[in-house]
Amino acid sequence: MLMKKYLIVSGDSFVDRKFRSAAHPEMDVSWPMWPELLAEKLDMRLINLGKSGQGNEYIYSALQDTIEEFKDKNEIGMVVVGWSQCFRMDYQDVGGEWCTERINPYSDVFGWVKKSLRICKSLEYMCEHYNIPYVQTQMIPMYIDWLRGLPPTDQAIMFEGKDMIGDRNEYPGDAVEDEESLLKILIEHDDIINHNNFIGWPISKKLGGYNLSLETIGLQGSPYVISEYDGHPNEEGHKRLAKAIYKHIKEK
Amino acid sequence: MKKILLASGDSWTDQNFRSAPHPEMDVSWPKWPEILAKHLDMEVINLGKCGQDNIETYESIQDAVIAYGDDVGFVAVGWTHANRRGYQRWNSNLQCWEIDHSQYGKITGFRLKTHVKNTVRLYMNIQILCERYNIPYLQAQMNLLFPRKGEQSYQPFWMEDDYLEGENHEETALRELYDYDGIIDDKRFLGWPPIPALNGWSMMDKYITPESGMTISKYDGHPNKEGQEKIAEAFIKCL
Repeated sequence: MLMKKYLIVSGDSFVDRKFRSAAHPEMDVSWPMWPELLAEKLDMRLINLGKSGQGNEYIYSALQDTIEEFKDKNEIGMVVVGWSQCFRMDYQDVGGEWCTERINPYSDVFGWVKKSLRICKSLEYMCEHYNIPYVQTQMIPMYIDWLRGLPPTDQAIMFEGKDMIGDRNEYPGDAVEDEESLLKILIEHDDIINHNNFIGWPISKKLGGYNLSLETIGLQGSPYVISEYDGHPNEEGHKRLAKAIYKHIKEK
Repeated sequence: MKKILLASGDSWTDQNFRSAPHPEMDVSWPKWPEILAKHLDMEVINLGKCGQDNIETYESIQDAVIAYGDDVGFVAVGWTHANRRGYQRWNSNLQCWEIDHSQYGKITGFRLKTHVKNTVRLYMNIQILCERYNIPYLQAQMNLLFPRKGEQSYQPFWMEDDYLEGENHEETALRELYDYDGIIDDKRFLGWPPIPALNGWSMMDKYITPESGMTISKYDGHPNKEGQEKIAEAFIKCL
């Protein structure tokens, strides 16, 4: 009997099997998540590297370390990546555990976006080099939350009385002008990124792209997210994400 | 049209290098990328920058491979200390990317093992990038992967915390290299694994030692003219 191949998935809280809702800590969120649903549809065994709060450096590095551990890369049937916000900073602590800072204290939004795009490209190099089928998508907006003024966390809004609008971090610049510059960076990458394998490329509505979660499940208040305080996908939301990714894989 | 040799690294590679202890010294001798390019009959694009960390070195090569495409004939990389880390910032007045070196060595989550692991991932990224595009390449560790206690470039400020824990962090870091043995192409990596404890070497271990006569002075361990020629010779031998 043929051994099932592996589906390796990496991302942040939208992928993490151990996800808990910060806004509703008592809620049972143990519904099947999109990686499991997708693995079932693809008839593959799942390796889920998703970790809540992490940024794109973790998402790529965890994947790279896992892929390198496979002596026979043919055992890997597919890699699927859901990229996170560009302004998170990942590092490994003294115990080697991956940690993250919500806002990278170094560089700025231009440096963060360029770094994230290089990481997307590095993923392509790695998977194409090893002949591993892959799909990547910008799961949540890469930089928009930063430009609009980063709101407090779900937890701070729910339990510390912070206000989603009033307690935003003010964007340290001209958001309109800077968004134009960021769109130019995306356009510069249009010939560089493999569109077939990137769901929603070029990730901005203004350029005809999208990020997968907004496109598929919507914002807080939508029937596919946990609640008006928590924009993570609920059970139905995960089904929709799995369906969208599966559809892309079959049609590409 | 001649093909392009892309080279990157830190001050050991930077064609605009100036000696900090000897600011008046003329150090305009040819650097190893220029010598190697001449041997290969290629045009050199030297992306080396003083103080550049390994992430920036990889990213500079990645950006240039994308920008120059099929014109790239060879990639050569000279890696620096694993613990070094700089940050890129857009200067809107000058309309260029700048690197902020003020955070040198102060990265949160300080641990030798994780720095080494990050650098090994970057070695692998260069290998994958070049093989992906069929670009001939060589890489080498220029100065020490991590300065060892008692050695010239050892800087207690970044190792102290590690040693305070009482673990042998050098040994743990070596294991990270060991894991990649057989994965890194040792024919394309001079001195692999780049540390004497594993029977490999960096340029600083093998050639540009304080006693070699190939450093600028006893106050400046960067390669002098002969040192740069020696490094180029080492690359040429591996072609």
